[in-house]
Amino acid sequence: MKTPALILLAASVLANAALAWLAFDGSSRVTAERNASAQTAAAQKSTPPEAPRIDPSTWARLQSDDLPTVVARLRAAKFPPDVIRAVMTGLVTEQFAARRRALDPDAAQRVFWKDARPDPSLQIALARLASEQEKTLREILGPDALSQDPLALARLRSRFGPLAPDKLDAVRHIEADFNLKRSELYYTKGSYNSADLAPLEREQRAALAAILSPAELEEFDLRSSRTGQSMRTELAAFDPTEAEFRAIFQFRQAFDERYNSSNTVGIPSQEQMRERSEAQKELKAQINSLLGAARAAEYERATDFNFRQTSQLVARYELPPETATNLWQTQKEFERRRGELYTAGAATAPEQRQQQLNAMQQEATARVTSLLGNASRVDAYKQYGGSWLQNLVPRPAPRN
Amino acid sequence: MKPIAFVLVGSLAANAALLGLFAVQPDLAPPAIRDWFLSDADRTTQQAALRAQRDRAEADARVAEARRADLWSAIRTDDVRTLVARLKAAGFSSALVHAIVNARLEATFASRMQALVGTVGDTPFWKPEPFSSMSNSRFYEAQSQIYRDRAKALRELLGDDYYALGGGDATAAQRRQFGELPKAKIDLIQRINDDYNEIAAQVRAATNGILLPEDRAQLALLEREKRADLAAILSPAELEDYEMRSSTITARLRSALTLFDATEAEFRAIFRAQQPFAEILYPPSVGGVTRFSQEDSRKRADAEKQIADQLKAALGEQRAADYARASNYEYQNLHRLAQRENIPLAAINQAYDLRLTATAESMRIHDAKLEPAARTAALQALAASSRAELVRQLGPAVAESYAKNLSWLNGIERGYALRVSPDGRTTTFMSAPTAPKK
Repeated sequence: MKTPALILLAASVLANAALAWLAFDGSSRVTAERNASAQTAAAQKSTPPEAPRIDPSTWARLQSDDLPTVVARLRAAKFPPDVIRAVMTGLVTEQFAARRRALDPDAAQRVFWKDARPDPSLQIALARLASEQEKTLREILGPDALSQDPLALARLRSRFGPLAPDKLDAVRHIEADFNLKRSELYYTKGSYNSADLAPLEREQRAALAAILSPAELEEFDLRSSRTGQSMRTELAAFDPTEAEFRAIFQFRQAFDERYNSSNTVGIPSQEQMRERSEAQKELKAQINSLLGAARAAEYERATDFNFRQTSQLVARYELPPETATNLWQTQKEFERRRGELYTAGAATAPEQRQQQLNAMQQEATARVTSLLGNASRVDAYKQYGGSWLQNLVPRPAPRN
Repeated sequence: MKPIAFVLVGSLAANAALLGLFAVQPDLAPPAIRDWFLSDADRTTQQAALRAQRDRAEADARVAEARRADLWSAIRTDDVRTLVARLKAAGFSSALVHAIVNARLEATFASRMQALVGTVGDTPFWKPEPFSSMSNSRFYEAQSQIYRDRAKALRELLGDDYYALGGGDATAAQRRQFGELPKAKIDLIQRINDDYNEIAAQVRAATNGILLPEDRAQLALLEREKRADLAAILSPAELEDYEMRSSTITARLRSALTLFDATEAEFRAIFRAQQPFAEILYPPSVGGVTRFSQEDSRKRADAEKQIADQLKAALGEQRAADYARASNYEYQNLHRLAQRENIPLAAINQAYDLRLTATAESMRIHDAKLEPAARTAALQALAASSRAELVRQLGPAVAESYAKNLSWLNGIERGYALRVSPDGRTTTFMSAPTAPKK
């Protein structure tokens, strides 16, 4: 009986010790938890809103070798779209910098008096890399890749008209692709002319036709085709109505496609010149018939390069606008008289004709001076529309 | 009772008391056995408390994550200078700071740009293009001024990091532009440039596409005044070095200097020969178009002759001739075409020099006073043999591209005799002599 009682007693005492320790530990834990909770509550009550503290690991937390991950993190971290675009442009540029350096390892060492990119193959390779870089950015950012610069957007609207955003985006991609092709052509050939560009333009128009409706394509042509662009400049002094512009465009586009693109290589042959001249007469007749006599006369004058220049000069001197018309009429009068001089006096000795022409030039100069107000303006006129004044008297031929 | 029994009873009683304490206050029990002491009601209360605690913890984690996630709110500020400091403190690289600050400045300047665009934004397509420097110099200059102001603000904000962009070497870019000038002097140069560019832009804007002699005089005066201001802050050697790096002369000669493979000494000699004639050779333009009067053209021709003479003395006859050839646009074009096909330089030069022999031969035919048909036939035969020689030197593809815009070859083919000036810059076409009248 004694031994079992001793064992039981020992076990019970051990249990006493264990339970007492657990109770003590539990009491300490509960006290600590209550204190911590009380402190947290007190802290939450007493701490004012924190001023922004910059975490030096901010960028490290956003960074990743995977660019779409960076975009996702920047978006989650509430960076605004323009800043995300800037960051991604910077990162993509950095990522491509190694490839740029590999293509052109001597770039940093190149002396300042020589071309930064002297080799056409290098220029083409760099242009392609730049295009790839742009595409990478578009793939990563989607529509956010597009700049919101008001001028860039206004230029786009001016070039393409009122297109829906998705179409505008598609058109911009096509433009970017063909700009690269044009750059490659330029770097390959050193220069290019309309004949070189014609196939590219046809290809680009076909690509646009695939995504634009016929009406949208027409709007694009009116604004941005070669014909449309040159008409906008040429008709400045004519001040056309929309209807006039559209109607003339139809005739001009057909003419330009035939005579101002792929057929204009080098110096045209006599046959080509004759054919073009005939087509030009036909174009003129079409436009005359379209506009009526009075407006057609205005059109003829206003589309003359020299008249446009003269109009600008007259505006610059703040002279009455009709001064440009008076100068134009003076030019026509003297050119007619010069022609008559040659026709009527075919047998006149060269020295005598020279004297007659000199006298005519002096008379013309006096008339022009009186129209413009003073002699110094005549010098400016000779550069802006008034070259005829110098051409009244032929320059002596070098040797013939 | 024996003492052992007494102690045992006491110990058991103590155990019961401690277990009772756990039953009354289960929090004191270790978590692993706490459930043993809970009543059903306690257990429900405890579970609710745990759930609440977990919910609180999750909510706290979400808040913390949100705080972490909204990193931009810690960085953002309308004060761009503070933004630069915060971005740097946040560990962004110089190139990224540049990119971000530039984007923010673009947004800041957007209202100015929007206001400017608003003045022409509704221009219909049948009116002149409103953004072109040719048709609207006022708009173009105003737009350029906004870009200049933005660049100036960016420079002031970023200091040396202004050049850190695109993963390039910022120091190398700065050195190419300013050489070894100290930062303080670079800042002064940029300030002077900003000031004069702004005034020059106002002059250009007022021209409306027509650059009058008085505009040219005003722009030339501004250039001289700017140079005087630069001379006041730079030593003569620094000024010359800066001008060589930044001048229009260098920009215009770069292609020729590259082809010519100019040494630094040769470049400096060419620059010094050109500089006194800069106003005549590279007059100011509006919309990229420069007009020359007959008087201007005469002065240019005189200047070019003087420069050519000086270069013969400075570089020697052979190098001066090499430089004249490298300056010719037609030669530059040929070189570019041939370079892609790895055609040797000797063949390129021989193909280019063909113009001299062919045009000389065309003049010999012209002077022979042949019957018109015979003259035309002789010139066309000359053109054909010249074309064949180009193919032999350059190969068919390059020869075809080169010949396409070759005015002397096209001219001979069409029955003209031609004379090329010694420097190769001008070509005179000689038509067939008029038949004497009977």
